Amino acid sequence: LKTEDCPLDDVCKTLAAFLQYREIAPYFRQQPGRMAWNEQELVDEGGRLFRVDRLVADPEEITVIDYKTGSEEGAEEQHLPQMRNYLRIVRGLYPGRRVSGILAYVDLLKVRRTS
Amino acid sequence: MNARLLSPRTSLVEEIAAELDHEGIDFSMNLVVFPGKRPAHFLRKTIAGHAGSSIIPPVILSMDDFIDRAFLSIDERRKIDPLDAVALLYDIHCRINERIGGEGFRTLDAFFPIGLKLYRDMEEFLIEHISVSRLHEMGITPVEAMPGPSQQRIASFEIFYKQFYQKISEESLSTRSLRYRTVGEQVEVTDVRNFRKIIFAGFFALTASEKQLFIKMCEWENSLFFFQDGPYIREMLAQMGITPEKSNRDDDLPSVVFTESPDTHGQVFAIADMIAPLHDEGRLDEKSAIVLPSAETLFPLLRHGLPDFDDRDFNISLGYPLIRTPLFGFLHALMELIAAAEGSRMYIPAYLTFMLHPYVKNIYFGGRAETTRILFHAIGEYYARHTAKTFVALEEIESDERLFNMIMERLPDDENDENHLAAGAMRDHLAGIHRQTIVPFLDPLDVRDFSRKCIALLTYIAGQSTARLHPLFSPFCEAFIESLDAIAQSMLGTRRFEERSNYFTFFRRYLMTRHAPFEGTPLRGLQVLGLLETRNIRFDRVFVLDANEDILPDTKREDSLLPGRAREILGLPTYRERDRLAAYYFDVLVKGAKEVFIFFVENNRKEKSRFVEKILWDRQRRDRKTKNSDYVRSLQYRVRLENRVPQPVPKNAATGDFLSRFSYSATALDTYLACPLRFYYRFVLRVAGRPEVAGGIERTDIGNLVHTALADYFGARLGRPLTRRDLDPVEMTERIRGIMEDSFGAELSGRGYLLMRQVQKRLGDFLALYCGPLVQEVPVGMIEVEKKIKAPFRGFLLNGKIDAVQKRGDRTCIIDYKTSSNRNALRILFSRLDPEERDTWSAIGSLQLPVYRILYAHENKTGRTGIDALFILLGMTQVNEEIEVPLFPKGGGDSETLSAMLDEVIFRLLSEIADPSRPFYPTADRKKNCPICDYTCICGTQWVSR
Repeated sequence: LKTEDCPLDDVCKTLAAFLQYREIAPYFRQQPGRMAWNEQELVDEGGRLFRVDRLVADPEEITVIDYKTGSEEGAEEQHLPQMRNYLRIVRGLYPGRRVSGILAYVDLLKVRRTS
Repeated sequence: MNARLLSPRTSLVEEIAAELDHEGIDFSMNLVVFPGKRPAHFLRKTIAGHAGSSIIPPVILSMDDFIDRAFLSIDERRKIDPLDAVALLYDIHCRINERIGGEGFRTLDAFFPIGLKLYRDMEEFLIEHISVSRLHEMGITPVEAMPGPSQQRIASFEIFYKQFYQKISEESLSTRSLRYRTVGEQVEVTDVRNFRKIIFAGFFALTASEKQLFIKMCEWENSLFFFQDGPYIREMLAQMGITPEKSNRDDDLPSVVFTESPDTHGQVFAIADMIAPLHDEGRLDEKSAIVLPSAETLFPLLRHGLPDFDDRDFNISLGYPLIRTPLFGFLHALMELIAAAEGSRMYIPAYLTFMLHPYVKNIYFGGRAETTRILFHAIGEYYARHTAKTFVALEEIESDERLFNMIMERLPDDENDENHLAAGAMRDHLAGIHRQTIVPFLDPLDVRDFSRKCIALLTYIAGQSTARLHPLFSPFCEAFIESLDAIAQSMLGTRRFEERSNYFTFFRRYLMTRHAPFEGTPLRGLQVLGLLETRNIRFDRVFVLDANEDILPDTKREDSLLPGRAREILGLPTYRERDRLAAYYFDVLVKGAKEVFIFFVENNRKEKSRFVEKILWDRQRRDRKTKNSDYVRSLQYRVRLENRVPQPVPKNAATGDFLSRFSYSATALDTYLACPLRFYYRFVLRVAGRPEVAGGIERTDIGNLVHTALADYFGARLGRPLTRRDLDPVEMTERIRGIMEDSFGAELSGRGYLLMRQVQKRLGDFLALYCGPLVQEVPVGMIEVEKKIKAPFRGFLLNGKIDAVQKRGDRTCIIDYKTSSNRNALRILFSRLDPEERDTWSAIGSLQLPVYRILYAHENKTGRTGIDALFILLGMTQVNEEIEVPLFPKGGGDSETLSAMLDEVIFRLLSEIADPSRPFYPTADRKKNCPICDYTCICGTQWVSR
């Protein structure tokens, strides 16, 4: 992909729209008791390294957000196994808390929730 | 004290894991820094293993990544890569008077390798705290044992050093060394202080900037340093004022088995024997490593050492030089093609070499690769057999009707077959391949355009040919694309070269510095590693290959523009430090293991490594032995020096039937006389030697030219007596020119022109000095030229093409022209010939003239008494009547008797060939016949020489 194929203005507009999207915006707000990390490294019990795009830890619930770009419809089924693996690892890190995941399609302004 | 020295047998990652702070399964408040990236995998696995669950890991960084992170927390200047640096240095190089290399290296492609070295040296100055004034001082003060030119070079270094980093600063850029230097000087203000614990582990051979950093951080309460004990480490720590706590554990010495072999493959066979049972028993896990100090052994190892291993059973982690990959061979063939092209006309041998490369000839057409293979092999054959051209334009190939007719003959011709192809589709396919592979490189705009075209080509090959099925194609292709992308993105991207071939030269020079990284995940299976990749990781079982001098340690010359003496004076690392580094890591690797297997090559050019000698010497001292051979297992090949002798091939019923109906030419008979097996391959099996496209004019071209010229010239004079006025050298000269132009094009140059002049001169002499006196002496009339005849002979069928038939007085004369000069190879020694004695048939040079006499007499329904036959040797030094080699020499006996003798020989020979009970035997005279034979590879007689 060449830089000229993605003008900076277009990228900024897409990102702004995404961050204001009602399904996503709440996870970028400060909340009492909330902690959040970007590009968070996690290691499974076998020592394998994974990096989740955003991890939001609220007192009652942990949310894993994985950003997806492009406009390929129907790719969700391919993305779900990866998300399920993240959720399994995160459950090991936060036993007793509810863990859910969001596949966030940046260009499509669409999310797929899973738990 | 926050520094510890661990014994090599102690697991570094276990020690670190025990020291980390944590809150439950969260270790993210720790920062761990290793020299490289690989130990991070092991540390994470160890921590997760101890925790028994998933974890939030500590931040684990290589030293380079640590420096980048720390730097970016205080300074956001972008880091340039070496290509950008060369672009900046080249601008300085063009501007200043004190150029490195004087007036040489003026062009960018010539400067490029120098620029890379220059950049490396300057980065070393910076990281090692060498100041501009220190260089200045060296440049002006005569230094003992340093020649004047070296001192001048240091003076120009000073200018480059000063101006380069000034430019970097002006442009708000940074370099790797600048970042190390900055972090070393200002680490206390970076954000790394925020970590609760910081651990540096496994370092050795530090630069001045790293030493500065370590000395500062040693003072921090939250820092901890782990070093591994080995040669020279205490010396280094003492210089830095660090006194480490020593681990108390006493290590057992590992068991070491030495194996010597006569060559690299011997080592690989030996290791294969050793690891096969371990593999079968499932005992080769990530605690076992094969260490390759030389990357060149990777492919022999994969091919012969690990042939039965599944890809998941082992992991490779070493840098493999890109110029040794098959992909480089592919690009090299393209480079050669573009470099040899004249404008848009391709040099045919280079074109065919590229098109017949496995990646190109296996481009899919309709989902199958064989069609393209047939296409390009047919093109190769076409240019070898049917044209004598040297250069051809791509459009000319694409529109050559004769060529496409030939291609279509080789493809399935059943129109109802779903695979049936139309000529138009093949033409489009060929044009498509040209457009994707060659055409883009005929006119690159700049370096960026060239790089992107290379990426597009690789993507095309990866997607549209069988290339991706070749071993390791994908990692190599990714490494190439990464390198090409780096070029496209660099400051060199907008530079242009005057000659298009210079883009390839530049690219090749860059590739010479690049490696395919093979950064596998090392958590499972046998590890295949370079020596440096073993750093900080302990293995239970280690196999070290190529433990030879020149490899371990690597004693190649310093990759620096600075003379060794200057490096010493400046306090920069020299070969001594490099040797120490290898000694240290080798020692830690060996002493850390429980079992070590060391392989080396011992022959008249290679000797075992000094490190191996040292281990052996230690053992000899311990055991009080004078010889070290007791410790070394020697691998020997069992060699059979016996040469293969070809076996006779028996005939079967089908062969017998074929031979009884076969039409025999004189060449076929001569072939059988020389070697019946050769006859079998050539005329029965019809195995044709592949015609080579040599790109020049070959011996066969000369023969064809001479024969065509003589046939043309005398063909215009058939049926009438020749007079002196018929012998016109000017007309002959023009005819030869016309034939040459038809074959090679109107603009003859080089060898083609010289050949034409040679043939013109020789045939001019033939007319003047041979034909002239002949027509004076006897009336001569031309009867036939290039006459093809078939005739029965005692139940067999003969055929031939006679070059010329003349009437000389009242006699008919059959002529065969030869461009050679060897009369002995052609004549028949009747005095030694007895038709009934098979062994005497070796007295026959050639049966060509006797066969032609039989054919011509039959064709004209005459007896043979009035027919003479002779060879004319146009290759003789002098042209006169001596160039004739008559079948029946004067005074050699009665021609009738000799003719009858030859008839008998020919009949017996034909009967022998067709005799089903007589096999095709190999030649009785190997020394004479095998060295000039096309079939030695089938017979296995390549070893025979004259």
